[in-house]
Amino acid sequence: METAMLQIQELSFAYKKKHTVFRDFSLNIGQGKVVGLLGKNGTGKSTLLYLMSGLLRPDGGQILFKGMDVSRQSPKVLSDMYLLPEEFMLPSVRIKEFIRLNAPFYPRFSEEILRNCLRDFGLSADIHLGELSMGQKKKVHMCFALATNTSLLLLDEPTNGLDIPSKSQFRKVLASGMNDEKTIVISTHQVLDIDKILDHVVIIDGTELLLNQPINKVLEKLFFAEKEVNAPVDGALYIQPSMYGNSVIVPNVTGEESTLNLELLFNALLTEREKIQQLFNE
Amino acid sequence: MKDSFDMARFAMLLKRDLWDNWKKNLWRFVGIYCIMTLISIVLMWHAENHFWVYPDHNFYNYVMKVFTFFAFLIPILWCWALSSVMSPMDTREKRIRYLMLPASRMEKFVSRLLIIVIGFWVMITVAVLCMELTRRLFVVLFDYRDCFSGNPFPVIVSHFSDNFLGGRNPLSVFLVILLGWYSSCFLVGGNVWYHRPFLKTLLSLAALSFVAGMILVQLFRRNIDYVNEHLSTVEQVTTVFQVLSVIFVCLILLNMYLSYRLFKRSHLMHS
Repeated sequence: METAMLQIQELSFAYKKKHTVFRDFSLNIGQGKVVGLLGKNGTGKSTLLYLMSGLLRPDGGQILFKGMDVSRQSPKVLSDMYLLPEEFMLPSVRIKEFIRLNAPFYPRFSEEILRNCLRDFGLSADIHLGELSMGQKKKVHMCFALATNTSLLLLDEPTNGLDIPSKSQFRKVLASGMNDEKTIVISTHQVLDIDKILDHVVIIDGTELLLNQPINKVLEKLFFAEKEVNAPVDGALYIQPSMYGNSVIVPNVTGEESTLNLELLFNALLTEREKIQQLFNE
Repeated sequence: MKDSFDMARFAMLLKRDLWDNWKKNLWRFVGIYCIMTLISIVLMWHAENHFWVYPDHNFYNYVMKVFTFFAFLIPILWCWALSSVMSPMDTREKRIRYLMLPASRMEKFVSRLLIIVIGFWVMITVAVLCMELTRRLFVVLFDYRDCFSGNPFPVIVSHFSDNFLGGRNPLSVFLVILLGWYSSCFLVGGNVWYHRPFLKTLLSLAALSFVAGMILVQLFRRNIDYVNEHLSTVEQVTTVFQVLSVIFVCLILLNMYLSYRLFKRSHLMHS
């Protein structure tokens, strides 16, 4: 049985009494995976990351990281997880100073990973953080996050603010920093930036968990295809107009391989959730 | 490493905090030094230029005037410093960064308290020394009277010794403890409000003081006979002040505990 690194058990959370974000929400996230956390704006993706990191306290239920309650925010838990928020603040010091002051808090910090990551992003370790643009600061912060070598890395909209070359660099950097002991959870609505690197996808909508499946199982159950405008689409679970005609999802009865279209899957789950969920429950 | 309090991690926290905020602390020091020097120089200029009006003015009177100004200024700055104890939490982005730092809440709280308390008094001490050096430079450069070349510190120390030390004046001891309690309220305020804590705490204390004052006056009026009977001798009054001092010392400790509890329970969402 797969080891669940992060266990979310019957989580309930509301910002104010009338605005419930999660109600009896449960989710297990295993080790050694890159998990995509998708959902519409305002469905609670960032909130879930903050709950996972203990920054918010749940109203009900609990979240366990390696068996420890994250809401206690013990140093042992905090030193083994890192959150890269969408908006963040870095002090106005040189990168070297920033590393010198913050790296000691992470026992498995790797200077080599940091050097390689900065090099991949085309950044020098000698620059002053105060002189960088927001996108550059994000790259530095991402390099630091990867270099902490924590078991759990939570990234909230990591590609926001990155230019196009940097987005592909981000995928390369993330893939090179991955191993069997690390789990990365990426919350984003920029699905095209991350679909190639995901192992697992979680899609939430309001208080509901729409999908929680490994990518290989999604491709085992569903077939993604591009059809011409007038081509037949019998038995399609979902059809969406595209530039070339129609993007379709059909049940994968033949076991053929197809390329995951995460955007299409996301839209399909929002409109045809029961049909698709039924396939995974069979 | 221990989970609740580890000295090595605590030292790393202190170092990080000092480096992260060195520029802000430097500007604060410069601001304090400028205010103190301005007060000192202006009062010295006034004393020098009105010597013929106030022939009894001398160095002692000048030092006492400066000391009086500082006796008002320093407690205000001290309360403001205490209220900024949780400045690493005053924006959402800073809160995320600080709360996610791998250290226990106890370590974070004690490190902030230590930096604020020790940092403030070091800043004041250095500012006073720099102010005194500047004043003496002014005396030499602008040819002030010889009496202003004296050393003000022995004057202040002997004034303090006569009035506060030795416990000969329980009212003075109680007033110092009361001031300590007032300032500890700013510590609590700094953990309740992360945004503009000094102003909000000041207004809250002003309201509380007004209400408490009204209640005390009413109680005194209704129990004036009891007061006349039981507080007529110096010994009785001394005992009352001693008891009140102990109570307020306990209240100071309670405020510190409350501050820690508030910080321990804090999380990302903060009104």
